[in-house]
Amino acid sequence: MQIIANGISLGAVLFLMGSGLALLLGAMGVLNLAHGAVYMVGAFVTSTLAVDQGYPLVVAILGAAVICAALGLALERLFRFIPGRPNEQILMSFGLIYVLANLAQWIWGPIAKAPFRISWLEGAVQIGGVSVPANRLAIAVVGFAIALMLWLVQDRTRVGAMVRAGMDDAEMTKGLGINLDRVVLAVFVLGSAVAGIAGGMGGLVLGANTNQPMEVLLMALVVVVVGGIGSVPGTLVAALVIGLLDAFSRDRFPEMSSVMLYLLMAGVLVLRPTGLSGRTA
Amino acid sequence: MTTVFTQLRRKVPVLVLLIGALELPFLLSSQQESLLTRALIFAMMAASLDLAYGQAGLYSLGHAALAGVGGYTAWLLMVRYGHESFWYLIVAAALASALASLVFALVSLRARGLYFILVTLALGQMVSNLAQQWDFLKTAQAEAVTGIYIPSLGLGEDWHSGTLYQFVLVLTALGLFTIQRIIGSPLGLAFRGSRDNEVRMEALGYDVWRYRVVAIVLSGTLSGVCGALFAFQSGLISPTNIGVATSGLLVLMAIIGGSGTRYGAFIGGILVTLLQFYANQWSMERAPMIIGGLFIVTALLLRFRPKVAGALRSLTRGRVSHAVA
Repeated sequence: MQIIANGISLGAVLFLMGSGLALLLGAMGVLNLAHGAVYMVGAFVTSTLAVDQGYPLVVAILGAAVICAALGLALERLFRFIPGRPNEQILMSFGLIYVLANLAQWIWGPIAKAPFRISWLEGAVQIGGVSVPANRLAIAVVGFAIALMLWLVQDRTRVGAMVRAGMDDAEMTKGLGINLDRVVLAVFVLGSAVAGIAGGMGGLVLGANTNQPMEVLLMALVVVVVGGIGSVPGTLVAALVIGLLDAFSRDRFPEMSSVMLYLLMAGVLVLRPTGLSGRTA
Repeated sequence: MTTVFTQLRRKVPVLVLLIGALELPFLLSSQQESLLTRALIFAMMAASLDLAYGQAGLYSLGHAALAGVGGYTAWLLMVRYGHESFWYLIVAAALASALASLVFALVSLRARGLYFILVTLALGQMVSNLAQQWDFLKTAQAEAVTGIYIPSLGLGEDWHSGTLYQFVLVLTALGLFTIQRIIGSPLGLAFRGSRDNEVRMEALGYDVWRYRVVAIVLSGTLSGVCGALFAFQSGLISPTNIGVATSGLLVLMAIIGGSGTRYGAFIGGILVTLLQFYANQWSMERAPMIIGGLFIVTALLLRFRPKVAGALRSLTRGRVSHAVA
């Protein structure tokens, strides 16, 4: 039971990260490998606000979301210089990871932050006779709420239709008079805010450290490859599968746990290269 | 006759440079020799990456892992199983890397475009994680595996930093020569063809997929040799050495020198290794800022001042193209 709770809460965090990455990649052709660095900033900001300054967790997370949205705005400026150029996007991403991780080390010190202790999320909650750690439950609830929101935005609103149109045929979408640049900006800001929330919530179990830009990015990336691009449910299913697989294999074969994820990815690629949801970049 | 003469004349500067570089130990301290050896090894790694990255247009972010397979193989055979011959170890490392890159190619080539980049990144990390977690690939408590030394060539040689430098220099020259021959051959032309116009290549009857597999395997095999040399020189190898950060640096080396040119990646490799060393000397804490800045500046220069970014491009008279994989 503990394993399932761990798996689902990790899956929720991975979903939040993977959805932003997939949207940028699928809708905009932007390879933003610095997405994990945004997560890290969210985690550190939440740690400062909630743990050091004693603000309520909700306020701290909103603060992290706002700061990360601003960071997303800045990233969009940089990536706007290099549309459709993988070489430049790779270099830019790596550069941003180095700079942001080092800045975080400068500001918050070289010692990793322990998982945040929030008094009202200590202890466990009884659900149907099973006790679930409250902090993990909170992560799952926030994750699913945002998944629902993203799904509604993407499937039921005008902006979502623009995003989907851009994903299918960018040229045609522009030809219809839709300002795709503005849509990219919106996706960047929204995706970064969600990554900030993921960092804040993930910090409840993972803390904050300067290795996270790469670690979290890689897990999110596996989610994107497995889940395919352009469908919120596809990403959600992939994130949950990977979260559960990770929790399960950490318990059963700790020596091989992180390799399992990549083996799953390789297997999905070989059998179904477009991922679960069936769209390609 | 004239063609033979002009061909020879073009080789003269290279030979002069090589002989000059061979004599460098007379001028340098042993630290400087080690640094240069390290730079040569990484430059060679970058040059081998560029065979796939620049020539065949396969944007791989997992190259360090392929080199790492070679390094870990050398460690395994030497420390665990007591093999001491340089030739045996280097061939085993190359074969292991060839096998690993074949698997790498078969999985990653299922994905296309930006997806391919993601998959190579993930596969590279998988190898690094395996080295980190699997007890079979660990010594005692430490994260890095140690106990490696420079194996014997069987020629009664006397290893110190100077002779190692000279030996690595000769190997590097051979490796670069091999890469030049591949680039200049019909095979190299087919690499560039599948990079620039996949559809036309298919129409001409080339099996593009097969050429891509060959490009990745050749590039991985060469890097396996570099990985083994790295392990011999540093005496240890760790999961971080072969991780994503190193793969990213290799890409930076290739691009900064001019990806897809003859010597660009190699020269870029020497420059970046030296810069990284001196940045670390200046400040261990803030060096990542400099390296990160270099990445970002290179990206922007490549976009707006491509001639400056691949500064050596004009020098090496190579062709360059930004075709998407």
